[in-house]
Amino acid sequence: MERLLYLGCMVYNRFPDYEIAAKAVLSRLGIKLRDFHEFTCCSSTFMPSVGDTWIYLASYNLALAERREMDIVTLCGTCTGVFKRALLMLRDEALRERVNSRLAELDLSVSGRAGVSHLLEVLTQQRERVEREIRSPLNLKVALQHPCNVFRPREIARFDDPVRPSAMREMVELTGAEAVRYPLEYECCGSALLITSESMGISSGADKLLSAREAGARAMVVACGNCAYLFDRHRDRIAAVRREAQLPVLFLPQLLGLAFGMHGRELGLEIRGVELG
Amino acid sequence: MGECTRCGACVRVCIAARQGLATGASVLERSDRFTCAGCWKCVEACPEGVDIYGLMMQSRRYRELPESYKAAVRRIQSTGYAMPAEGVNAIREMYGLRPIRRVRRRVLEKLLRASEPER
Ligand code: SF4
Ligand code: SF4
Repeated sequence: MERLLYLGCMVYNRFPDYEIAAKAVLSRLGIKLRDFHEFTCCSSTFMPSVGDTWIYLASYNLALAERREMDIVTLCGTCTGVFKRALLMLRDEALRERVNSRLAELDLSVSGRAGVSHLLEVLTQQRERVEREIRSPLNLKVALQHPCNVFRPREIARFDDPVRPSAMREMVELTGAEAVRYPLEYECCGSALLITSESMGISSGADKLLSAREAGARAMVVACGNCAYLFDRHRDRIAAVRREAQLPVLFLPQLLGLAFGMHGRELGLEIRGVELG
Repeated sequence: MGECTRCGACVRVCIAARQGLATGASVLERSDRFTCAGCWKCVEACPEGVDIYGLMMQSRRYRELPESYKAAVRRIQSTGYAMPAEGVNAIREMYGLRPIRRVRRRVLEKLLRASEPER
């Protein structure tokens, strides 16, 4: 099976290890992730904040996938939410026509045929394959950062429970790792607060990491570039506010890959220098 | 879509409010519409089914954008991506990943030109 991997700005820019691990792990499950030759920003929260053109940007990427005849796999919450929202809106014929008249200028068209699933959804569909691939069960306590927009709003996401999702725990526990429950588990990481208020973003990250650590976690498992951007890239600034608020950050496919018996290098672990204590 | 009764349920689950952002009875009453994590817990919490996402985005279009938003929008308009992409391909090459292509200007111009009036 082939799917088209939509990287999104955050991952292609800052987290090649997430891309490497996602490709390696899905390949073990028999899913080949193909690259977009071209893509644009999904539009994120920025473009919908300034007007209606965001739908064209999102639809362009959907149209590219349709042309390649593949469904899209996403790695971050925000892109997932934007594309799913666009797909829902494109069911409206008048809007679809308007979008298509513009895409036609680029020899493209969108019908809504190409599905969009976040990596966690794909893994969940492949649960039995995942289970069979576990060769080196992990003995590790981890905390989970559930990627908000993969579950919310529910009308858009249509996956798992919107407020207390369980798919990520089910996936992680297949590896033998224990997903500890911690008081702030179902809270947003707060990464997007950084855009306008660095201090709020940092203190939100500190709250979460501290809560997870106090519950005994030895790593934070994420499935979104934005969460990693806060927890990992702002590690030092978080530590400057709360010294104990520190945990190594693992992307979900890195954790799975380790349990599949893959080497750290195959999963890009050396890129950010992840060390599990 | 429901009407807001100012019940405060959205504020109680809002991470920006928890981090100290001044918020009135509803997340749609605060003056800062941009300091938001986009977690949409508020949407799930609202008992009236208020279209918080839609109203939030709409209200932003009538306000002065924060500098960081302006910069991101400009970057998307000029490069197609929300983040600065300089130097990325050198790193990608190191790890055997496909280089990221600059989005063609023609593509961006077409996608991002102002919408035809609709409503
Ligand atoms: S989406 Fe924004 S306003 Fe709504 S709960 Fe999250 S941070 Fe608060
Ligand atoms: S939860 Fe809904 S009804 Fe209650 S204050 Fe918020 S927007 Fe208004």
